Amino acid sequence: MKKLISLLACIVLLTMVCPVMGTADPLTTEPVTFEIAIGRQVLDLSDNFNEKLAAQNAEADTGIHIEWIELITDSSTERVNLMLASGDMPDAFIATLNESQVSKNLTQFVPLNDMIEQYAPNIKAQYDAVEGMWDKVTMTDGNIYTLATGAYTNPENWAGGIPVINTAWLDKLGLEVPTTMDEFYDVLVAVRDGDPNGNGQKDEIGLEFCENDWCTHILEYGGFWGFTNYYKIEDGKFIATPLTDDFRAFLEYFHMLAEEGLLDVEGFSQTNQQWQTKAKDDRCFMFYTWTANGLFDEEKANEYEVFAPIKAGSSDPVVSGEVNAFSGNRFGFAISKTCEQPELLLQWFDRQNVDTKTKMIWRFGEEGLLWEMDGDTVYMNYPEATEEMSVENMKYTYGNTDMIPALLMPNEIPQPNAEKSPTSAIRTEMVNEITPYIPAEALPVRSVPAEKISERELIYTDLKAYLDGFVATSIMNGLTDADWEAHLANAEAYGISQWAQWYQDYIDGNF
Amino acid sequence: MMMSKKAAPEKAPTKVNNCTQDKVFMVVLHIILAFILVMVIYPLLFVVFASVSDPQYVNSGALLLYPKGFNLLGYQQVFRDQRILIGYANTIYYTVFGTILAVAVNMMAGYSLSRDDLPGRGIIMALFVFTMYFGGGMIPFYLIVRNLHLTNTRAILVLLGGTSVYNMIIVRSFFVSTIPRELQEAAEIDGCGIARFFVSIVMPLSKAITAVIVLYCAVGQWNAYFNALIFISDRDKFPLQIFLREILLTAKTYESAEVLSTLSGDDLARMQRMSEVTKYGVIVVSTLPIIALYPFLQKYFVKGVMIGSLKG
Repeated sequence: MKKLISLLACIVLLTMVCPVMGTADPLTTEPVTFEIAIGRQVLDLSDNFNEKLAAQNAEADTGIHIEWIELITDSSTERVNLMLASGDMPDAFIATLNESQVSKNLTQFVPLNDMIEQYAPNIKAQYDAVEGMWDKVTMTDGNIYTLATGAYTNPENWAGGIPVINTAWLDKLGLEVPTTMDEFYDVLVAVRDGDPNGNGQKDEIGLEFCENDWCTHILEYGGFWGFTNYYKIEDGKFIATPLTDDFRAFLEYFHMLAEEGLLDVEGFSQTNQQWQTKAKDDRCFMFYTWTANGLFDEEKANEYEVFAPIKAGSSDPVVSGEVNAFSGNRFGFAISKTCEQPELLLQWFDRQNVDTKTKMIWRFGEEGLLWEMDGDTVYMNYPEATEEMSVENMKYTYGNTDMIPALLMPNEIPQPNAEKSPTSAIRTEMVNEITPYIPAEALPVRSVPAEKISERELIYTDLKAYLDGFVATSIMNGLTDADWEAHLANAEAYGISQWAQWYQDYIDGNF
Repeated sequence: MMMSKKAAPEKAPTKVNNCTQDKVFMVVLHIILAFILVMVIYPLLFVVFASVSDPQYVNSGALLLYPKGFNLLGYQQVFRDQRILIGYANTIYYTVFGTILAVAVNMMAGYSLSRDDLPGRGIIMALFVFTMYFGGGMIPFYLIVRNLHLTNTRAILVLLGGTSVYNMIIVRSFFVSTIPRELQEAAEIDGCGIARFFVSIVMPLSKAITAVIVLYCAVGQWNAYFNALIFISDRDKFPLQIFLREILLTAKTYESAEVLSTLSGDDLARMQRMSEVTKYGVIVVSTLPIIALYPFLQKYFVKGVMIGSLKG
């Protein structure tokens, strides 16, 4: 009897353990190896991609071995171009293709349209649930060659640079937060003359910017006049802002500020580090930034508060950004024509999208370290950095962040946690605060024929260079009526109308 | 530049330098040379200073003539980094074997092309020179390497540095002008074959040019990164330069948006400072060995290049 019981117990145990140990439901019983090119961040400290937990899980789960070709993000374009041109392609690409590489080489990839229903049920269900998702991955010939990867959106990225001012200085100078342009000017003058940092030197900078910093451009200040770029969209109309009177008013106002020493004109040429050093030396009153916490310790950072732009022109003030912006990689996953078993590879990809947990392991590694789940909600968790590894190193070493064979859908986006990921929480709070100023309309996200991309790039490269130069010289040297007339003619010669028409056609869906 | 520098001190001791004009000339000349020297040497010194200074001073422009806030953090970081050590080992491997191969090929090819008893040497030479002006382009190049199954192998990096027509022409010109036909005939009369003649007579007479070619090839291999970028996938085969590129890119990464949301100000500042000092540390560590090679080869260098090129 005893023997029988132990035998039974053994059998029960075995049947319980087997599915966990072995492959639950392998996609193949024969050994299959695929070769996949995947993006690698320089912050990744692992030696081999198969060291990552998600890659190991995937192999155990599907029975498919992957040989990874890791391409460093900054040089992957050269390698991928060679692969595409020579036909020496891996079975699939993950997060290594860009729009023009795909649209110029459509024949090199397997159309997935008819395979998705049968081999990628998870993908199908998830894409169906989000409006407009299929449009994002459909190429102009009506086929689907690529599937999206990364995260659908990132609330922290809905805004770009956020304007902040030093409120401690205002208190010291006995001033209120300005609400009109006149008050704004008075505050800047007081900052210049009143020595609010108390070092006895007249080294305060009213407005700081840095053209070499992605979120501190001079054009961010254009938000006072209702634009933060060379275009804006109003009621479905694409408006080239450099031709507007608001643009001129912005340049003239900033030239005045520069003349009076209220704007740091070194911003046109200084490096990111140089401007940050100025901020850290307690010299800057107002600037656009990600968060002040990225620059200062907590106490100092608290002196800086979000400052909503003031209306200065004919339009409502704005800050750059887009609410619900799509931040996934539309060309994240593509199967090459040279792949012998595309169906199996698609199944493998689908399996990586089966649930939030699997996706998060791809993204940030094991649960509990950089993220944790409470019910269906994912929370971010940033542990203390060690001597060898910053949190950024961990993100790319344990997982691969956005360069993964999965897409986090809108309902799966990790949320910040004030305690465990305070920096994200602060940023999210700042974004929420400034969201009313983010323009309601944005460019749609969809594919464009390869020749159309070239057409746009051809115009915009020169046009942008001209406009950047024009903005800098106008702010430095001022702007006469003749200069403005000449500018309108020049912008036309550089093709600003064709460029605007290109986008208008794009918005209207003419190609 | 080399020539004018050399020429100046030799002129000085002659008798004519008593006249005022010459004195003025010498003074002006020395001022100009000193100026050029400063221009050349200051950026090098700056990098060395920056590598042992606190990056805070480097960024704010306070660092000028001597290190400020002395520390060796950058070097600690560099030598702790596993990648640097792997890269170093690989680069030494590629440089040593690449240089041996390149010197062997260039010397032998240059020698045979310098002999007028080589049948069809004009045609062979023309074919070589042709490749200096016209290439097949990137993709055919890649396809050939792939079809030879040499992608992702160490051999390809050694082989690709194997010859350069430019170096070969220098060698050939050297041989044409310094190894006369009569020497070969005399050796032949004593029963010396071509191989023996090359090894026992030509090579010992060509130390200068050998040194030049060694230097050219070694520096070339040491600095090479593009072929590795294109052909090598395994990280344990990467040369130093690829890893250096990664480390430099890391510094840039710490300026991007994504990073800002995960790191606190202190952490971010620390990482930025780290990557900044590492950058300069890496530059010093990676260039030092090859700079150290120069003084030993310099005496041959000036002589060798001049023989090779002027009479060529």
